Amino acid sequence: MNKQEYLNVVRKQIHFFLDRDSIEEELSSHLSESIADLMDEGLPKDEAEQLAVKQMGDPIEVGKQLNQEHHPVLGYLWLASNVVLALLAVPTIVTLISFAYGAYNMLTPAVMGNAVEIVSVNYERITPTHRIQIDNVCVNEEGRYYLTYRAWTNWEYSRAGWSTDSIRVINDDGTYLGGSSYSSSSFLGKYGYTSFEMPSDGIINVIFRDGEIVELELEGFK
Amino acid sequence: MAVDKGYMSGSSQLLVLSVLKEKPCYGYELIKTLKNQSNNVFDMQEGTLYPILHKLENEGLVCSSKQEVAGRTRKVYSVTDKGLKVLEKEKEEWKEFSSAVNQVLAFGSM
Repeated sequence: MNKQEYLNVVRKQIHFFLDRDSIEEELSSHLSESIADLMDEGLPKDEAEQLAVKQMGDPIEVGKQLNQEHHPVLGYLWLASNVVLALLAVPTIVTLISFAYGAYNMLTPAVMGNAVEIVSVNYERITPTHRIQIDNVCVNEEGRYYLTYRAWTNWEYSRAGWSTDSIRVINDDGTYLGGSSYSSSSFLGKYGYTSFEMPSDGIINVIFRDGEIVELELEGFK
Repeated sequence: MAVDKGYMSGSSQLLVLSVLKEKPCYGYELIKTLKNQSNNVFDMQEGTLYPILHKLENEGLVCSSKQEVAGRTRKVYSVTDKGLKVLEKEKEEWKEFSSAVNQVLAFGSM
């Protein structure tokens, strides 16, 4: 039996496949050193290899004893727990990043990314279910006006909160001024913007979702 | 003279820990040391050392590290603090046991 045949027989006894390579590496290194020493003592290579293998003892017995120390059940449990941890880690990290992003947006005044002019409004209103902060008037490249806002949901109130926009700007006759709006939810609340037509007097009516209408005078837009 | 397997297997843990306490060894080195220190009495089947080493490692009595020497990877074992405690305990047990055996043998040869 040569060195590789010996190692192959030992390998076959190890049921936990992930440990086979490291076991083979260790025994292979042992045999190499043993062969080298026997050749130094004057044996030809073939005889040195045969004797080195013989001195190792029965490969099936050695392999079986090693297998007991590299138990497949424990090995696979260890492997499975690592896979589960890795699988859990991905959504956890994604969730943490989205939480952090949402928190950042809720803790800094809402601004539109493509605004060419930003004027602070800084109006706050507290309703039974929400605290709404109107942050800015943003003007984009096309000259359209937007109100940006943040709406915190009260802790005792359902997380589902309002599914529609928190605020809209309306005409005197109750119709909406302007059209598009956008909002995004985070665990702290919602943030977004709603577009409107700027009246010549700079005074707009903002309707909140609880039906309350508030008149806002926008400084600098008269 | 090589001794019967049974004597070796009962005391192999004690012998291995005792050698590793003196200096960290890789498997081949450990076997040569055992053989030399015992005047060739402990001439074990070399492969059987590895299950013993891996068992000691699983139990935390020894730890191992890989070392690259001249293109060869050696797994070097050293004894842990826990291993040293076990070694001291087993040494005491062995002394007690062997002196008891000697007393009985002395009685038998009277």
